[in-house]
Amino acid sequence: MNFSWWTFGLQAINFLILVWLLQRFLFKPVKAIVARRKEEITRDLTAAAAEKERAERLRREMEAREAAIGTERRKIIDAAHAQASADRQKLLADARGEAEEIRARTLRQLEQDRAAAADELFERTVAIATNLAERLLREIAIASIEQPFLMRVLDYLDRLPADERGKLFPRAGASALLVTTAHPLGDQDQSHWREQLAQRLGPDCGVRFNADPALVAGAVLTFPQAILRFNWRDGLAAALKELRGDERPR
Amino acid sequence: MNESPLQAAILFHVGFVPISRTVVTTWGLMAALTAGCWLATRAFEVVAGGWQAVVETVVIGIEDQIESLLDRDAAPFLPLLGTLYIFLTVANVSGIAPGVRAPTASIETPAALATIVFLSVHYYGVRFQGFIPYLKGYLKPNPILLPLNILSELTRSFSLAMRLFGNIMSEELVVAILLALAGLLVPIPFMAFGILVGLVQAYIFTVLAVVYIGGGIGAIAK
Repeated sequence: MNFSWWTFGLQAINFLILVWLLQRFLFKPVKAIVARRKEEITRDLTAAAAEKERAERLRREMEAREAAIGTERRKIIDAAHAQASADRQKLLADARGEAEEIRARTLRQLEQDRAAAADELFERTVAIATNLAERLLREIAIASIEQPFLMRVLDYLDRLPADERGKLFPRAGASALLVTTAHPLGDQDQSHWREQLAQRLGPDCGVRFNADPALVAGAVLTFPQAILRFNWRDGLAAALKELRGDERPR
Repeated sequence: MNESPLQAAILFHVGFVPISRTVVTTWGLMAALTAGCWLATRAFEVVAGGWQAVVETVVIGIEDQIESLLDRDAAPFLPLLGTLYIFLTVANVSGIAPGVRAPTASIETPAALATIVFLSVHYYGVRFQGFIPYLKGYLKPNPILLPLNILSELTRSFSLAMRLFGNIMSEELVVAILLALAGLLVPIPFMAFGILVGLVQAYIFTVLAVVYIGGGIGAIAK
């Protein structure tokens, strides 16, 4: 076995050259591509982290926005509730007011209806009473009943002051006084009336007579300037007027 | 088979320098490795394809092995140790090719590689620890052991070379004898076994080199 130092040396050199060649054509390219891949992965991871951070920030913003929307929604709901409550209170108040107004109006209407019914009842009652009185009076009003009315007329004239009595005849003339009675007077009664009136009014009073059954009983003395009513028709009318004026139900 | 398996045949001379078959075979392997690497890496892309993935796996695997043994960044050691493993693998296995004799079957090649490893241990030791601290390492654990430490450095490099040379040369010699005696097909299982031996020896040589360098830089206890 011979040891070749030349071969030994050349093999050592060959190996060192191969170290350089593989470093140049194998290890460097592989390390470079791996480093580049790591760099790209790092860059992608950084970008992904940034994207994740951005997504996280967006998520937080969305959550904050959702919270704000929730708060706003609660505010709106609270405001709507308050508004609805206020509207409900107002509607209730309005309804109560309207009900009160309707009740008052109804009460007024009832009062008016009651008053109208009472008036109507009163009117009918008065009419019935008047008719009843008139009918009763007509039943008892015979011709001789005119005499007491003459007495009342004469009594009235007797108590009338002279100046007032003079005003009944501002100027003398025939047929100046018209005496209307409920029953036609006979001649004797007419003479008696004419004589008594002449004694109080003077001989020129010019009495004329007329009959009006509507008077029921009594007479109406029509002067040129005045009318004296002493009969039951006017008495009933006065009573009716008085009843309507004083006794109307409140 | 007339020539001695222990003697490198001289094919030609360049001036007064004899060029043996071992050197020529090594040149061929260097050319093939360089061309293969150039072809494999010229179109590297970020997204690795088929061959790129294989090449990257080999390189990163070697680097990871070195890192796991040294427990530090393997970048300063990758060119030497990576080249050592790749060259040994290719050189050991090249012997199965017809007419090719593995360069590592010649004593000069393992001796040259072991010498480079021996020198690299000191280079990296001084580089990483400093000259004086590195030399002080030979006085540990006791200065009395300095001769033994120096002898250990020499003998382990010698054994490194002889182990590789003996395994590869004997495997080739067995295959050659079987081929001469039994014919064409009988040596095939031995050749397959030779591939396994070549791969294992390349791994052992490289791992031992890593361990020696690791001891030199203080990463591994001597």
